[in-house]
Amino acid sequence: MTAIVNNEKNIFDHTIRSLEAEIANIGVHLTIDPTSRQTYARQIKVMADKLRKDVTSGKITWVQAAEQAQETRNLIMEIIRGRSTPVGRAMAQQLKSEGKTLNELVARKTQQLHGNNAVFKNLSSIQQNSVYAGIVKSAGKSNPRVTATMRKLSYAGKGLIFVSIALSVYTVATADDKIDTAGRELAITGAGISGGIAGGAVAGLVCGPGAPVCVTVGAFVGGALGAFGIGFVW
Amino acid sequence: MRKLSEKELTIRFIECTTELAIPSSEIIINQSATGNVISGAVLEAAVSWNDFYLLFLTDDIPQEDTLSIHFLDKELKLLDSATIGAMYSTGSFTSLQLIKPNTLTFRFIGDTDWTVKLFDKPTLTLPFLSDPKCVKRKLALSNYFKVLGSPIPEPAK
Repeated sequence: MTAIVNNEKNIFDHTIRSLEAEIANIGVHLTIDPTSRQTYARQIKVMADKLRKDVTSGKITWVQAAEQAQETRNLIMEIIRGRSTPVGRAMAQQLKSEGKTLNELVARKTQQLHGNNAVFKNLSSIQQNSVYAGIVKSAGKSNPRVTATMRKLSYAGKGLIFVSIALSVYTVATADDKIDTAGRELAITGAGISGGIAGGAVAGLVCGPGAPVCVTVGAFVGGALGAFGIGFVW
Repeated sequence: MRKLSEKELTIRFIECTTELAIPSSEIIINQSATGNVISGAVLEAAVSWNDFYLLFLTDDIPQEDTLSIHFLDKELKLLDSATIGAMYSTGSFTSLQLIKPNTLTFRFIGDTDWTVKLFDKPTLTLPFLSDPKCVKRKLALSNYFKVLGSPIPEPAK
């Protein structure tokens, strides 16, 4: 009878520890993607500023700057997507992009700057350069709607990581064997986070690209399984 | 229902003061500033329908554009708004078609034909469930227009 009660208490304790690890898992997910976003916003701005400097110093023309802005920005976007969590990547792949070619951008910017009836080839060379300069400027901008949302998520993520650390510190401080408990807390939290990333990645493979709900569930289940499994092994 | 010319309705972009400021523009009607400000930087199309205006604006962020759809009354009071877009994705607003009595179709993102159905009074909707994915709007139980579409995700690489 006592053995059964102890066993049930063990399962209950492991479940509570797993839930605590999930807090860290969610917190880390909510911190990695906003950090990647900040890097993206910073990098594309640096790229646009550098291209503008290169033009003013005579290294390249405005046409070349506009072409490079297109190519480099796409490259930066791919790198940042690669740095995101599986959940962040799934969010980014929700909609098939219908990107604009340089010719389209030129036509649109011409109308935007010189009126709906303006035709690029009829513009003076100064006006044509202003069109290319406008394209370079636009390429240096990230969508503020997304960046603002990611910033809020970043605050939430940091808050959750703080809660997770506080819970672990409390658990260690109130334990009889502090060293063993500290090791176990570290292992369970680590397993929760890595299980979350792995679970999200597996869910991404199963559900295909652009399925954020499925990947989020995968990340949650992966985190719980990782933490629960390590809790039992420890 | 009719598409308005640049002379009838256009916008004047208001320079953003901070990097996180959402691009916004003032509505200009018959070449007169109105003082009414809406989100968006580039007017893609303006449509007049009954006693309402429907405006389509993008943010002038070519690699990560968002389409804003604004529904206003003749006094330019904003009655309803929605945005279409997703992080690290972009689209081009093209192929606008006006289908009487109250429907518009266009292309933007997600390799789908987007449809907007207009209503002259608020119509009951279920928050979060009524719109296709990546269509965002303020939480409300009724809307003046419905957005329909079956966007597809990016293909696996």
